[in-house]
Amino acid sequence: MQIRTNALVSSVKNFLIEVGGIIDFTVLVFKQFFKKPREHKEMIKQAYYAGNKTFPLIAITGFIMGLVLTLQSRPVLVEFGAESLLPGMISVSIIREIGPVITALLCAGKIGSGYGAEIGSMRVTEQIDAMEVSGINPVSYIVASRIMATTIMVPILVLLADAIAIYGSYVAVNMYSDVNFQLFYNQAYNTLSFKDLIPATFKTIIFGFMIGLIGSYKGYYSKRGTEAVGAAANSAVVTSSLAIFVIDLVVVQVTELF
Amino acid sequence: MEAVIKIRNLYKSFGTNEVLKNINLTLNKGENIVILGRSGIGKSVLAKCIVGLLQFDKGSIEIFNQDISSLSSDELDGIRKKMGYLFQGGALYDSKTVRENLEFPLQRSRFAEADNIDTNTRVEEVLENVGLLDAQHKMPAELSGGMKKRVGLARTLILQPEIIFYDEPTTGLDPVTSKEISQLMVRVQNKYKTSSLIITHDLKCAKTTANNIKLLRNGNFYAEGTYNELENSEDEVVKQYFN
Repeated sequence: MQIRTNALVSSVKNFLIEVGGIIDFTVLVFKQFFKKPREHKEMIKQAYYAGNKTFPLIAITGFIMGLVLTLQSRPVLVEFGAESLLPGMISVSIIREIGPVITALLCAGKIGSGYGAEIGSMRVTEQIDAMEVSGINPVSYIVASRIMATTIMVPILVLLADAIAIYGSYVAVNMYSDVNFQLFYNQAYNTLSFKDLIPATFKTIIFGFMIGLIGSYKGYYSKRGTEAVGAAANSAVVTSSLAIFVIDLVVVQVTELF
Repeated sequence: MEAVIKIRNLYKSFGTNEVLKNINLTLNKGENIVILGRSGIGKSVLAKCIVGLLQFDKGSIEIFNQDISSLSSDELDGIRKKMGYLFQGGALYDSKTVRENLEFPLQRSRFAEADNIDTNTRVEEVLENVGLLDAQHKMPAELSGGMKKRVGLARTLILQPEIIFYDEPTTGLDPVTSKEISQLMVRVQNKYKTSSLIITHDLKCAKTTANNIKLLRNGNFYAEGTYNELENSEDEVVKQYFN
């Protein structure tokens, strides 16, 4: 019993240290946003890499997501004679919840782990130290630019994934009946309102920020040694994924208030 | 002589392990000091405390007559721009070519603020000094260990530092390349009139480069003097290193 209590206390302590570390790091990064030199060039480069490397994965997943969701929902709606509601139902569920969360999880796996490994490797090979001793601010150059990149790119990737998923849904509907493309899209978009779109977009901005932040944090404070680089990448994915679900829960609760 | 680094009563420990105990050191302008000692004794820790990569526990470090513990991070960055650090593994930015590795610190240096900085000329000059002009478009992964150290030195020199820290400059290199790097360090000192703190356990490197050698043992300087003085010392501990 004593051992279990000690283990629990230790886990809670480690969790609080981790949260404290991330908050400290966030403050440090925010300070860089207001400091010169601003790393626009590096930010654009990182945004290009993040978008370019992740888009194929997002596109395939988005298409399958829309297709499968439609194939699984259609029989129930057909049973109730409500097949015409299918485009609207799919678009609302994709845009409100499935699109942002699945895309953010994919970005956490692809971009977050990449940042953890890349920055961790820079730490291990003393590249970050080399920047510091040259008077170059590594938090600004390496971290702030990457966080800005994901904050901008994740919402864009989510919007693209949403559009592709709705197209996937259209393909699935056309497997059973011949529906005009414009009619499908009109039905899908007529169901949507700003109330669906704005909170969803707002949470993707937070997802993007957190993916960049956690990936960079894990890499920046990784221990020395090659094993630590792998651990940083792994931990970046796990922590980011958990953060995505927690943020999703909070944003849903907050937006319900309005 | 004008002192560029003054260390007084420096202490540094990691947990219960006291690595540096009451270290005192003065590096004068144009002087090369070699810190000699066994691996893991705290030589690199000392250098990293001086450049601010590690926080020390007690004591004071003055660089160009400024106490670094009282400086803000921006002020410390200003001092760092007058110093160069050659890391053990070179620490080259692996996503950049050799040329970009050299241009990167230059674009953000104190020289970047001055007009008419000719980056091309500066890059080519330092690469020529380390004998690697032909490798400017290579990626760090394509370079040998010795070449990485040379590029690391070129990157250090491009900022025209007044003080250079060499962290194990010859470790892991074959004897011929080690000798070349040691000679290069002397040439650099003569040409750029730099002051250097050289961390090594390579006696040949120490012999070639040192004006003064300090032997680090048990967290403190056990002995000091010129290479010849220490080589001829009757002290048993010193003899262990030199024989």
